[in-house]
Amino acid sequence: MTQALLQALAGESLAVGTLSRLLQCSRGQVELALYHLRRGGYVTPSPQSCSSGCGGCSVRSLCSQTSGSQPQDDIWHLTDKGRIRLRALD
Amino acid sequence: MRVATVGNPNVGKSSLINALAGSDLQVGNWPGTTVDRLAVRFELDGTSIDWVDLPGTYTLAGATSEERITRHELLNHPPDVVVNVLDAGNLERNLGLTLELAELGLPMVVVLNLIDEARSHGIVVDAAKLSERLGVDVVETVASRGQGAEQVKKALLQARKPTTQTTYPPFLAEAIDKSGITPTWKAVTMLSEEVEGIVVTPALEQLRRDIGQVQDPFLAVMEARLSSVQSLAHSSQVQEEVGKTLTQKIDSWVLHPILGFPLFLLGMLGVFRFTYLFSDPWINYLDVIKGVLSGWIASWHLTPWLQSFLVSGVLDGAGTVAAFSPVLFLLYLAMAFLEASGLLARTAFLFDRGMKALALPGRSLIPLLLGFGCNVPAIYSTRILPQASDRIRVALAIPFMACSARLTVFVLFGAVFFGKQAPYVVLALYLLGLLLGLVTAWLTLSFVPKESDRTGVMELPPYRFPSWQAVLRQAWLRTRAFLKNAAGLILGSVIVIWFLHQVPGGPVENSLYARVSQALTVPLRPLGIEDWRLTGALIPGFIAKEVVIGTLGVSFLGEEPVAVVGAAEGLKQLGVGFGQALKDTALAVPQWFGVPSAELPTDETSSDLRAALAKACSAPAAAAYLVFLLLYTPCVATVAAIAQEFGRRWAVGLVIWEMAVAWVAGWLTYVILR
Repeated sequence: MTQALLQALAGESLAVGTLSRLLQCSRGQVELALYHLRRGGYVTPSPQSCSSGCGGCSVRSLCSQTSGSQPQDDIWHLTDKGRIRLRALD
Repeated sequence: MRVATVGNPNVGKSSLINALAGSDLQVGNWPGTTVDRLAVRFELDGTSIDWVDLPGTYTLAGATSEERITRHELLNHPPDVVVNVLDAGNLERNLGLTLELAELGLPMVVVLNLIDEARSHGIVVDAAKLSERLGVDVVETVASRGQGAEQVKKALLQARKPTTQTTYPPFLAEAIDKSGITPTWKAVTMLSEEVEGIVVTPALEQLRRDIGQVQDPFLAVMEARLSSVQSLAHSSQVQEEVGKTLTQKIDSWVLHPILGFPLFLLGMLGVFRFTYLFSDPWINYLDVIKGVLSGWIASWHLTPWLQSFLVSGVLDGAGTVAAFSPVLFLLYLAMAFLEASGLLARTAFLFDRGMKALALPGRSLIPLLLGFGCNVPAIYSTRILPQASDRIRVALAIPFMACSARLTVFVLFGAVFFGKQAPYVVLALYLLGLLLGLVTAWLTLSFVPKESDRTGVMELPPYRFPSWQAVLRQAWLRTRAFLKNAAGLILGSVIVIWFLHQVPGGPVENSLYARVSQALTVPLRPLGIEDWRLTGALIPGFIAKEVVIGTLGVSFLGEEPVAVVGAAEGLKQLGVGFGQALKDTALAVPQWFGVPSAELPTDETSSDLRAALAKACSAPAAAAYLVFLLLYTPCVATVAAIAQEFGRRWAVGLVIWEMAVAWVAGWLTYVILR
């Protein structure tokens, strides 16, 4: 799951809800994984959120949270350490 | 027997202890209610239990202050039994910590709390299966209602060591064995990451380098634990189909990006009006009680000095303390309801974006909102923020929040100078305090070093209709604690002020108190404040804002002749006053739900002070006075809390900063409104 999560974040910044759907696992699992990955310095939350808009989001077709009625998810992206580690894993 | 509760934040650890021990640990529906190690002692079937409630955490290896406290306690003072509390509705996130705890090798009981909420979301957990997999007793509970408490007690006395272990990849398993370190959790942690308080030996450092050649040990450990969590969760829970939950329906309104903010403001206005409308009849009734007691004292025919001391010193002081009980109790009641229902946590989400502009996490708003009740516990609650820089910046903003002690002054001046506009003036003062607090937090960003980034996991608890018993108890405990801390201080201050009024004797204008106050009036003249009695009330206001009205009463009304009241007449007045208070409370109900109306119920006693105040200054000067009072300095208890948490330098700096801001804001208010 860790590798799949890092790979999902390789191309773009994603929210927890989207990651959960992409990886087909529960939101709790994604949150726990992100929590530890952040502790390890592999990922970090972006200073923006889903409520910033869906215009540039490549997975908007997968997203059901477009009404803004859901909690604002932090959007996560890889850090340099995360990118280096992903290359090593690949 | 020593027992420790460990679990993720906001899973009901404190509620469980309260259900088992009948204790009064603070309970809230937001992450981080317990920010320190709390202990309770009670008897269980003849066994003395020392129960430690540890702060919520997702891992034992984390770096936040809560995580450090939990790790330190478990490693350095291992309990006889660990009670791991899980949110039954979110097993995947909770079981990660369970597996870490299992590696400590301590006897353990797993509590599946919030089982009712899990079922309402269609989540069915097979406790027997989970128990079989973990090798420890698993008990289902709804701690807030005491359900399952008896089973937890039984399980405690027969707690077993877990048999489950995370399956690590061979290269890591070998290294763990080779290290010879116990418990397993410590060995795994030492091999995979740097953790404060755990020293890595050179031999282990070499071992770590060796396994680093094979794979990143941190990721390997994480992957192994996540896989084990997944396996445990899949084997012990089933997700059934359910429709849109009530929480989701309510959230579609409360968290709406546009409607959410006006709804929040409306909610806060509702809280203020609730406090204001329902406390007023009982404050008036306390005045009736004071009048009757004064009359009874007068009937004893004591010497004038002693009568003055008892009536204007002791009784006025006690009256000032008592007058806060209704306001505080109702405000704490409203706040306890907001906390326990989950509404307060929503504000963190709602304002997360806005707070990001100030480089603060959304949950900073929780200490700020608590500051509206009392600044002192709000300062301590900044511990819920993981970053030290965020904690300092939020703590510096908190004293700008208008605490409930300031509310009574706002209410009195509002009624005297602003009539029907009073509630809006009070609301404006609250918003001004909030705004200036946030500006202070923003300004401090330039000289408070910011750590790398902020916490990632934001929790949104489901709505829970709070138990009225718990909410009432919470409000009562907070009111009692506040009064207990402040009563002596307030009573003493009022007596000292009374004494200063008596020295050297004669008219109050010649007293020592008047001379000091006159000197302090000079810098406040640009704010339109010319009356030394108004300035004088600010002096004891530094000790406690609660004293301001009592001091104004003594300064303006001085020694009033007290009418003698007979025993029967006094009892009759008390009975009639109580009936009137009940009637006014009932009348406040439709008013609370209706169109805002600011007409204040008046009473004979305080109308004298109101009339005297009306002559003391103009409405613009009164507004400037309120702004100055809102901002000029936190009370000594708040300053002490800041000094304790962050050091004296910050406390002194804050007082100086607030004085400057108060003067400028007060002056601007006067100039604009004049």
